[in-house]
Amino acid sequence: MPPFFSNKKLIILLTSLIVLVALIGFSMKERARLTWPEQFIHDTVGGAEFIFNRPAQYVAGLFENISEIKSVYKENKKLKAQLKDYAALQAKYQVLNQEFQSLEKQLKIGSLLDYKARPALVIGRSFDEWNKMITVDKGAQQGIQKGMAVVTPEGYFIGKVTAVSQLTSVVTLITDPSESNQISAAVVNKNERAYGMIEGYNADKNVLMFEKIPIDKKVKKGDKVTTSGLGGVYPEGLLIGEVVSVKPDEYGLTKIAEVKPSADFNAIDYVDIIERTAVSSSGSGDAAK
Amino acid sequence: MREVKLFFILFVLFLLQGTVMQVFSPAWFGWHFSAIPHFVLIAILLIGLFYDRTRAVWYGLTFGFLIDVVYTNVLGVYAFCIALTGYLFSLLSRIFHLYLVVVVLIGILAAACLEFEVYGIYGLIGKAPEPLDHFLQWRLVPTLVLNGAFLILIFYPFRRMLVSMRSHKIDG
Repeated sequence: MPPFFSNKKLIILLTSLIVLVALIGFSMKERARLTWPEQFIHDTVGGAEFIFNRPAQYVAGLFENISEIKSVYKENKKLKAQLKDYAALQAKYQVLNQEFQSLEKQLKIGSLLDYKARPALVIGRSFDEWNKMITVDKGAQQGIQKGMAVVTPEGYFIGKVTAVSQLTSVVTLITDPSESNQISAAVVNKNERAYGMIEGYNADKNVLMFEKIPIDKKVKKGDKVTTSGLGGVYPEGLLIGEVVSVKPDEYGLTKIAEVKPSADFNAIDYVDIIERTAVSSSGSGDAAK
Repeated sequence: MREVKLFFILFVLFLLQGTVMQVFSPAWFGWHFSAIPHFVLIAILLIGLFYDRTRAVWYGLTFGFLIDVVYTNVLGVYAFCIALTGYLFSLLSRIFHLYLVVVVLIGILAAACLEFEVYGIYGLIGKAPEPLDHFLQWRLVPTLVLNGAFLILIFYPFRRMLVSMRSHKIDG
């Protein structure tokens, strides 16, 4: 009986295994930028993706509109009720904002909260659900840089830019399980703020794992979790989600909170890429605190 | 010319996986499972079965690598897995008569094999933290159904094209 694999084939298989391991090693390490062949592939494929994705999004949007019409009446009533408080809140906001800005001017620092949003269109998405990445139609030519924060049009934080080519860029969502995918986050309630890291996602329960919260901080259900602004790349205060449960970690040294994300990761058509406008040196960050 | 057409078809399938199939994903219909489209693998398997096994491997490497670059951040995994799976399962053309039912079974097995390979490799580098039972229940079965259905859909037109390409190659 002839062997299943001939010698030659076995050698090819082993060689390609070695190449595979080398390639994985090459791509696992943090890279500052994409190599030019990669950029070329991203840009070419990006153009083609655009042609395919637009009609699909349009048709999907049409169906969504039809199903939304059914709930418009109920929603309208609810919104009207909410609108009553709006005028009062607006006035209060104006006063506070003015005060805040004049104080800020006196301090002569750029606000950590200031940012510029660049709208971008989603043109592709990883099809295997291990990689949680989306491709958007703005790239280095439009001033996008690696590490910028990305939010939904409602302002919910969804991830950061991890690879930039000339005309497109890749956004890794916070739900991606890669080890390098960590977001510095803060939880704010009445008394204090606590910092920690968003370090994983539980698809079963649709919660993000918010880890490394100091054990003495009081974090409770319903607290809002936002970006911390400590990383220096993205601004403070982009809403990530809401705490649903808190428990100590396995050694009892820090706390782990489960955070329900505000954004719906399944339906992302448009995003805003956030560029921090304040001087983003660590010095100004410290001064602001 | 025919080879260009084949390349173009594979490229369109590759784009469909990442665009249209993601807009109309199970989540869009309100379902909780995930069905992963492996249309490129299915097409490459058919190329291996009906046209030319060596070409199938080269196409597998090319489009697997495209998938790696565009849709993932780890290079090489899909290139290796799609080429290997396409090759191994197209060897079965020696053993079986390639009726629709047989080819659909082979296609489903190939898709399952690819899923396990990627799950294994990604598991090693910490990119697939999903527990096995969850993977089997919520991911594997819908994925196989989706790809089986896709294979039935393209089987007759694609086979006709590939068989005529092979007869051209033998004549020429």
